[in-house]
Amino acid sequence: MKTLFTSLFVPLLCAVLPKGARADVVFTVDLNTTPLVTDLADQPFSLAFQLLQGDPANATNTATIGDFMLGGGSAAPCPSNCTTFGNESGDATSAIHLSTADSFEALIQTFTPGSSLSFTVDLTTHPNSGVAPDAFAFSILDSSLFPIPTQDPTGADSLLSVFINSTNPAILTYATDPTTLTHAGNISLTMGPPTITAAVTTVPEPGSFALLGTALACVGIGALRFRLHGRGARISPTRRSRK
Amino acid sequence: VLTNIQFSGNGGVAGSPLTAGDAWGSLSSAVVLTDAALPSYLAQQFTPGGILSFQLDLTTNVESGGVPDGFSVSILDNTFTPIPTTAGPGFDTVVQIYINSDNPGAASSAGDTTRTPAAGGPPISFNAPTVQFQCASDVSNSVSITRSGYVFNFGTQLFSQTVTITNSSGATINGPISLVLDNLSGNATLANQVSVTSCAAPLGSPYIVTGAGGLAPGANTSVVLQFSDPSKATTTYNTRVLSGAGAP
Repeated sequence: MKTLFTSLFVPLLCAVLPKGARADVVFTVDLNTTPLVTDLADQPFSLAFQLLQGDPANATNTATIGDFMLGGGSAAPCPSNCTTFGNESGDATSAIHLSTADSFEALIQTFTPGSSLSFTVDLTTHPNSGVAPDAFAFSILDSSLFPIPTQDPTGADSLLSVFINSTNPAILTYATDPTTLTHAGNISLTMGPPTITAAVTTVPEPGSFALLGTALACVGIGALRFRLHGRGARISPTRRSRK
Repeated sequence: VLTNIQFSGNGGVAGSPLTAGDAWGSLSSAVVLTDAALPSYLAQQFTPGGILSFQLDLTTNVESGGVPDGFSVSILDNTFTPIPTTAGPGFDTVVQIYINSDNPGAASSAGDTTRTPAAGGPPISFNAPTVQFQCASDVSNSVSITRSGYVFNFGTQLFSQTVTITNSSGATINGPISLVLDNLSGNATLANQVSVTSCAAPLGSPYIVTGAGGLAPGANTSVVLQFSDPSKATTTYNTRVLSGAGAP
């Protein structure tokens, strides 16, 4: 039985283990928000993050947004200054968690802009087998909760969007559109696109560190099996002779 | 553009065409009329047979001024006066189309048996012509479709999605090209739809017309769909691509 375990189950387990890994994209977003500081007509501004399900029949993706730095500005505390959609949790004072377990998860949080805004996004990248990919997007809203006009060709006026159509999807960024006036302040805003510092990487699942340990154990068991297998070849006749 | 003009039996074209405005051609081949000059018309003598038939390809660019362009067919007697029809005095058309939408209807009228022709003789009785609309062609099997994810605009409360249509066949796909959304999930409506299908079944599906006139092999065109969905549930639909002349 032990031989059966080491011969069949352990190699099978080890073959399955790599599937526990997942692909993430991890990137830092930097945005010069100086033009917002002097735009009193559109204040207060809000940060808006959203993660949308493309196909309800597919695997869940998650986005974790953290490491916020507001360049002298600040995020107003939740819940009084926030609007959430779905099972979103967290806020920009710590970290925001979104998933496609719901069709639409989002956070709108009021903030006071400083000279810059930066944050880190950790986005899982399980592509849908269905027809539409999941999507992550970031925009800045004016006091009427309309997004600052950007050059986003979809009309969604996002500053950043990611369509999870592969394990390494493109990160799309857009500058503001100075030819379209803001909804609240009725002014033209000129702001460059966010700068992306991408660290495209494959990150083990949080539970995969345990799996990694198991995988290492597999290697150990395999090595032990190798030794036992060699020794067993010598001792088996002895066992059979005991019967 | 009128083509495939046919007179059954002993009917046929007689004489030369008389044109005005921006009109040219002949009933013996094809007739082209535009609204570059008004009125544009072509009149040509003919000998009636049993049935007169023709094919009409009519552009449907709607006037922004509120008064639509109009296309009509009348049959004139030897005084160049229209034979009375049920369209009524002052009109007396056999077929009348007002271009008040991208998919206008056609009114056909029978001979008016209560009024005598200007040239004399008894009232003329004939049935109203049959008008059959040619539907746009379904080219879904000749294209590949790629959809982006949805992104929500918190101001307009609309979800946006970009759909790219690529000609995966070896032949050019004629424009206009319409993207039809069949089985659109009940949670959503297509906010920027042009209309719904009224000719190419299944009917009642919203569609949007792409900017492309036509698509060469391997070429693609993209269109942005905007959905209204107060429930914010995931929107699902099937795509159908229609091409060429004819109503979607």
